[in-house]
Amino acid sequence: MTVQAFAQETPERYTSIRIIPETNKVQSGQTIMMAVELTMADHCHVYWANPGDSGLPVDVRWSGVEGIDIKDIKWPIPDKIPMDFLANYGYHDRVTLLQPITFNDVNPDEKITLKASLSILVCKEICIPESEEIEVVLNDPSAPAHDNSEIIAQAEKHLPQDASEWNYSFQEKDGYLLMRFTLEEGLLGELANKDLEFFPLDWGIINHAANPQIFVEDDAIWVVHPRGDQSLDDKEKLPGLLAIKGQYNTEKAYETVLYKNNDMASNFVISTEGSAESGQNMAHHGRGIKPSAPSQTDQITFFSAVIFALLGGLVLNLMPCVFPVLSMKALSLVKISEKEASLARKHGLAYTAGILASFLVIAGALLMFKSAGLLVGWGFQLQNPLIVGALAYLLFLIGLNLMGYFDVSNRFGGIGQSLSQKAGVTGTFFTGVLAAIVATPCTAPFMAAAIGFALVQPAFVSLTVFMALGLGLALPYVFLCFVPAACKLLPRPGAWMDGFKQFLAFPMFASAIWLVWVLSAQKGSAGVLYILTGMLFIVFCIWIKKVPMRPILCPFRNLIFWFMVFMPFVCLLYVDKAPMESADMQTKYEFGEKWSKVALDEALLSDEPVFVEMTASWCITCKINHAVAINIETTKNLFSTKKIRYFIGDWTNYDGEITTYLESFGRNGVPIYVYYPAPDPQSGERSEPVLLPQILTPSLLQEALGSK
Amino acid sequence: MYRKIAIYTIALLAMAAALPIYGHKAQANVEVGKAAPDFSATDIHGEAFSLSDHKGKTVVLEWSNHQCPFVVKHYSSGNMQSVQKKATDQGVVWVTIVSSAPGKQGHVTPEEAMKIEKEVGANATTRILDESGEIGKMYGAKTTPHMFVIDGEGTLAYAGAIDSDSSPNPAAIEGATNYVLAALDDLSAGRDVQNPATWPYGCGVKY
Repeated sequence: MTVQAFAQETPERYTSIRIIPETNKVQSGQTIMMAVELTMADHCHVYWANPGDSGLPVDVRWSGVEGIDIKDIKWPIPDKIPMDFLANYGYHDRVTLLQPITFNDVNPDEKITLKASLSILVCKEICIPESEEIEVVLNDPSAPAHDNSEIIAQAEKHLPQDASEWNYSFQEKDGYLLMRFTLEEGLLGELANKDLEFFPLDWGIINHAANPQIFVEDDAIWVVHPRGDQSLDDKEKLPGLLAIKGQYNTEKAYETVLYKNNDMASNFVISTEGSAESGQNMAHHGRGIKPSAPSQTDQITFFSAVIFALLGGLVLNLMPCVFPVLSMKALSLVKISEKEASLARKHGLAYTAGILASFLVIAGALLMFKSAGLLVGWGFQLQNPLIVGALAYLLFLIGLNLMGYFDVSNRFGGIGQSLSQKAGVTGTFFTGVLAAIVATPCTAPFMAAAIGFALVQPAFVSLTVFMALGLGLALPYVFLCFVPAACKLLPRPGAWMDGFKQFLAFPMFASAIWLVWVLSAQKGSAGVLYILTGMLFIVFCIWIKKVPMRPILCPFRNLIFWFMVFMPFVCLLYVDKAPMESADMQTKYEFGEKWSKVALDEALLSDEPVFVEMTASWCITCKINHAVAINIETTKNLFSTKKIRYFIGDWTNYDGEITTYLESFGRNGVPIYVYYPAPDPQSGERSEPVLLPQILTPSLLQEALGSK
Repeated sequence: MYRKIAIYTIALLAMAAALPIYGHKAQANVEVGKAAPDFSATDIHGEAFSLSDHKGKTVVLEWSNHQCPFVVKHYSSGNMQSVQKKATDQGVVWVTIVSSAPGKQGHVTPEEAMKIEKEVGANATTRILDESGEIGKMYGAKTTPHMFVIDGEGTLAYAGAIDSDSSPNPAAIEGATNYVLAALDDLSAGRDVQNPATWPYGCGVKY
């Protein structure tokens, strides 16, 4: 074989090769190790047995001697070499491959010449194939015996540890490869806080460029990795390395085989990493960060979550978007409560049913999307500009209605009297639906913690919490319906009701303004333009229906109406099409660095303490916390004197990386505040990150950052 | 009337609240046996190309980088050109795609691409420069030459290497099984593709 000159313009070589036999004197039946040492030019690499997304493994072929058995190459531990959105496994600088050769029949006094043909693909940014033939002379009577076992022993230190006896298993699920490494206690403790990765020996098993998620169970470590291109259906076992990533290269690796076990992760929900283990013992895979049980603020029990949700639902009634709907509905009760107590109860039940049905639909959809592997979190509704826009329209419409600009009919809004009509009960059901829908913009910002908890739980827990929330929302009205005495406490109807009704339009308009502002953070000024134009069309549609006109013009009026009525929806489509505001353009922060996983990981390698804030434009709690506790002089001074690196992540728009980060703390919504104390000066290890409460006060923050 | 409109509005909103969620599958790559994602681009001759315009025809996507040794292996030997010829003679649409980013190996201007096309005597239907890497990433193209075969119904029928021998040496072409030709044969005979996914050996795509 000759050196093929393909694309390279210089015939210069990028690898130099030496082959060192364990000894130069062999006897029949003896197995010796051949050390194939490759030295590469600066920044060049050659490939492991599985080269990763591109490249070729080093290939060595032996010839020249009859009666030899050549075993597989023993590959030293490779490094993962990321290349943009691809990744390779290989070696830099120098590597020694070991290959055992058994000589079945040799004469110790007769010279033999083994020929090794190597073909190597050596790559920096670009790749050059190189090949070389090397002769290894053994049993040369004129040469003195030479023992190289020291070199072999040195090279063996770089081989992965044999762990073929371990009980490891894998399962493919929803585009992920789930790997479970059951370990004895000592080793589990050793590996639990390490940055682990699986290097498969075969191609196409995993998406090499992606980073795995790791979490620790009682007796096992799970490594969850996005899948590769090869089908796993026929694979019963996967050989590979369990690798521990060091700062620059692979620190250590265990050579192992995983066996298929399709039952091991039956109740494992992919997108909520770790939910199968009830949110406990999740490891964040930054360096030196121990797997941490989320701090006590997160350890909400099922029971207290239900109570919180119920109370939360109750409080929702006071939110600016829900209060007007409830008030009008309640006032309508006054007139009939005495005569038709049983009918009132029916209405109470219909209203509850409407709310619960809506919450069930939303929660069900959310759970469905999550089980389909989508990285969604609570507040996801407001990450979608279409929904934000539609809600803004709806609140605006209700505001106009309350203001008295148009009437929706008794049946629907239930603002009025005809409870005695049968149809009224259906109407009340839809009022419940309406209440649930107008409550969404408020649930997202205020209820994030409880719902975030619910969403990382098994489905029935999530649904129960959602139902409790709905029940809480329905409770005040139901109470009025079922306790006629309570109705007596309501003010008597009268002329004041009109003024009150009009007044209630203001919280609605205010909520609409807020939603338009949220939209401006997502879709910029273009989005605001389209949504306001949509509102213009809405008012026009109402006007054209109301304006006095000669009867002859009426068909014309209807034509215009039916044309115009679609315009708000068209505007909504334009909103959706408007370019997404880039992350940099989103709400400007006065100080702090933009969060990214890479930036955080890098900061965690330094000696400085790190503070992470996750926020979103639509998250009221986040905004208040930021203004009250973070963006103040004392906190800023604290950051600068203590040299705290401060990162802000913005979740206003969809961001899978942030979602994953939130989930690593058992959360599913913003805000989240995490403090990583400086590493211990002796050990260089960081202690567990501290999760701060979701309601921040300056003193609370200072205390958390001040204590070591 | 208003009553109806209001009810429709609520119904629409309820649907809007449930349906379009901005979530992303963790993996964007295409899968053999599933629909191949559509893409549109302007080829080096300035003509528009859209995958969906070729429904009913088999389409081959070939990722290329004229400086990659594995691509050179198949072009200097004339192998790629003859496979292209065999395929296009059967009515297959053959698209050569270059996803090298500006400043990276294999990146060319349309003029340079036309020159290369002429020099090597390529028999592809068209050649697309994808310097943003958008199409490459959409398909999860990892190497040059990474090959994709899409059947007439728009389903990805094959993804992987051009042939079974990963050596950079052109001498290895003889005796190797050409997976793309095999897949095209299977498709035209109405059979399932025997090897629908293979290890796409080659240089990394220079995104």
